[in-house]
Amino acid sequence: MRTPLLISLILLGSSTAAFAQANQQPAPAPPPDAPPAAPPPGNASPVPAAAAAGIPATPAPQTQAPGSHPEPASFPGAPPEVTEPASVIEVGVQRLPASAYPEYPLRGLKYSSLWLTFHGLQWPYMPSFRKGERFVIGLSGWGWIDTAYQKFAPWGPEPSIVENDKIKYWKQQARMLLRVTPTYALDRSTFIQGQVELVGTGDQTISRSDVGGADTDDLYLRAGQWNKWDVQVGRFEGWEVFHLGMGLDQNTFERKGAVGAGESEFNVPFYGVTDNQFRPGGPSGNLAVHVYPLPILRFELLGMAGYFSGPAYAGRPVAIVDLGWFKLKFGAEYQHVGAQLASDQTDITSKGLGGAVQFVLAPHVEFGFNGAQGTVWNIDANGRLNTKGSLTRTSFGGFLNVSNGNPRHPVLFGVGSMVTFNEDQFDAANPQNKYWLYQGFLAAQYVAQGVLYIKLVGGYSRGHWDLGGDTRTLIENEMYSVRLRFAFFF
Amino acid sequence: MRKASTRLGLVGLTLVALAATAHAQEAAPTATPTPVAATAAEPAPAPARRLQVGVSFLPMSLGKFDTGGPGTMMTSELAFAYGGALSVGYDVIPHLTVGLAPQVILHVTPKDDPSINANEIDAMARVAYSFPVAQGTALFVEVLPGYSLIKPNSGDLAKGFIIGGGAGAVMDMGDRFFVNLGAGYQVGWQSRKEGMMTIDVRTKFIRVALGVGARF
Repeated sequence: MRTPLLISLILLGSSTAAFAQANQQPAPAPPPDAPPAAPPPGNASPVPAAAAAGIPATPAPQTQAPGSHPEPASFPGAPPEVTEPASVIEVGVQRLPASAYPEYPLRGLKYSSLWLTFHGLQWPYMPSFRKGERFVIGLSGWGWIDTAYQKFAPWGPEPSIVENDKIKYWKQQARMLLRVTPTYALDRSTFIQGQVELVGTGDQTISRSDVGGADTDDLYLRAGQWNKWDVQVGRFEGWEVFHLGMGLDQNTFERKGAVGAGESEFNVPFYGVTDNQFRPGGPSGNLAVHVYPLPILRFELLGMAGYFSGPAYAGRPVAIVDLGWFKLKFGAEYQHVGAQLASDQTDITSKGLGGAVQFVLAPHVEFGFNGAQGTVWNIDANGRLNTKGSLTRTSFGGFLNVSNGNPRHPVLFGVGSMVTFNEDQFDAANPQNKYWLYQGFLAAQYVAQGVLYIKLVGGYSRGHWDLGGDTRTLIENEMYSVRLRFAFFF
Repeated sequence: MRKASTRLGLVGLTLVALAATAHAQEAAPTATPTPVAATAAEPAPAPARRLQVGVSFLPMSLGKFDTGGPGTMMTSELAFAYGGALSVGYDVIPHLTVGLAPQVILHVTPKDDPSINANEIDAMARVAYSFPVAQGTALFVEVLPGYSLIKPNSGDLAKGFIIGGGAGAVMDMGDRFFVNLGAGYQVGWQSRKEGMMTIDVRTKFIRVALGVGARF
């Protein structure tokens, strides 16, 4: 049962300085009473229409009619009644209703991994549902707790590496975030929106420059017109091209695959036009323009600037054709990292492109295929080619989700596979370093009350490293994992 | 002209509908007259489908391979193997299914000796009991006893008894079709003759099954 979080009502004058000025000339007449807010289209949420429109549950104090004066105090010595200027904006705090999550075109099977992806659609979608402006602070978020077992089973002709790689883990990882989305809707179409995701981190082996780990995910400002265009700046993710399915979730060990200590120098992260998709680290951020010329067609042009190992900039255009049952995605990207010092000749250029095709046969089946290839060309500080750091990365894979389509007791099964090939330029006269990683999973998920996702994921990963020059080093590794996730979306 | 054709279409459809009603009335038993309206209002009971046929993909992981004679047994790890299964079952009583589930496992290969590559054929029976947990969804436990043959790329055939067991969930995808996902363990006691000696060649796997099927 969703309970609307309509917490407070604050009246903000358009000029705070004028707030206490009882004698000030009142502002022009407010517009005639707006018609009652229509329920959001397709809103399955029990959030009342008034709440969805940002109207407080308790009636707002009446604003003063033009030309009138404060009523006299009812008793001697009482301060004159303070009246509000007419140009006020009601401020609501609201749990995001279902209408904030666009459902058209069909995103995917309900509660599936594809459904949890927005395919470039503008969200949280928080227009003014009545005539005039509206200011609402939307609250939403999600959290998950994973308990996982992971076992590596390496083999090969290098006994020292094999012994070091024979490891197993029991791990519990967690992450929860509260998403705060202040949205100022100038009218039904135009909006200004900010969003911050406040993160609580349960290890995930820390990072985001440590001491407590990540504290924010999204942190952006956006302005534009709903379903037409917007400009977004700050820290946020670019549109997804490569979809992995119900496993290999972000911030899990399963996603890293069978990369043990012995081959950690040759990590094999999948490549899915992902160099600039995820939120950039450090003092870096994005600026993106989104255009929606047709309901079924949308574009993102994302730019990034900031500092990684040196000054960095990037560009990443993505196009999505989305008919609901059929989705076609294509993306490309370019990233350059240079050096801060003039004498430093570091020059790292990454390029790539990829695409995905997805089918949603509601209410029971969805599936898709992905492919992407990228290159890295790495010149070191002395102007020489970093052969191990210059590589070609190729990933392809697919996923299949099936659902029972039961609205009360939704159960979904998912299966997915992905393989990534890397080949660097080391000792180019001989066969280069070549290594590949396969990652596959099976998943079963039950969703309770529409908000509590209980998911069991069994994973398998297999890695192969063929390294060195004349004398080759072969490393084989496998990783098995089981992970139980409890996730709460609110 | 368009109006006329629409009317003709409507008349045609009405006639077809009337004919269908008449046919339904004819089919109704005459000995016990039942009000037609009441019969039409009640949904037809779902036919009892007791026979089920399915196919499964079998990722076989964390395999072990015990080989040798008495006192000389050696265990080696198997590479990731994969296979497929066909299952045919019949609900002898509600929720209890008995049937056959033959399976083939490919790439039965020791990690430390990739030159050995065998295929395993398991002729298994399947007894499963399911517990409905929600409409169209059930959990099940299963036991799969059977007989196994291991055919290496070179050398003699090994054979012996095998048993598997596991648990999982089955989910209806409409009235007839279903999807199932299960996991368990299977262990074999296969052996082969080498002259007068009996050499054990036993396999063990964690058995995962992802399948689809239909009920008839």
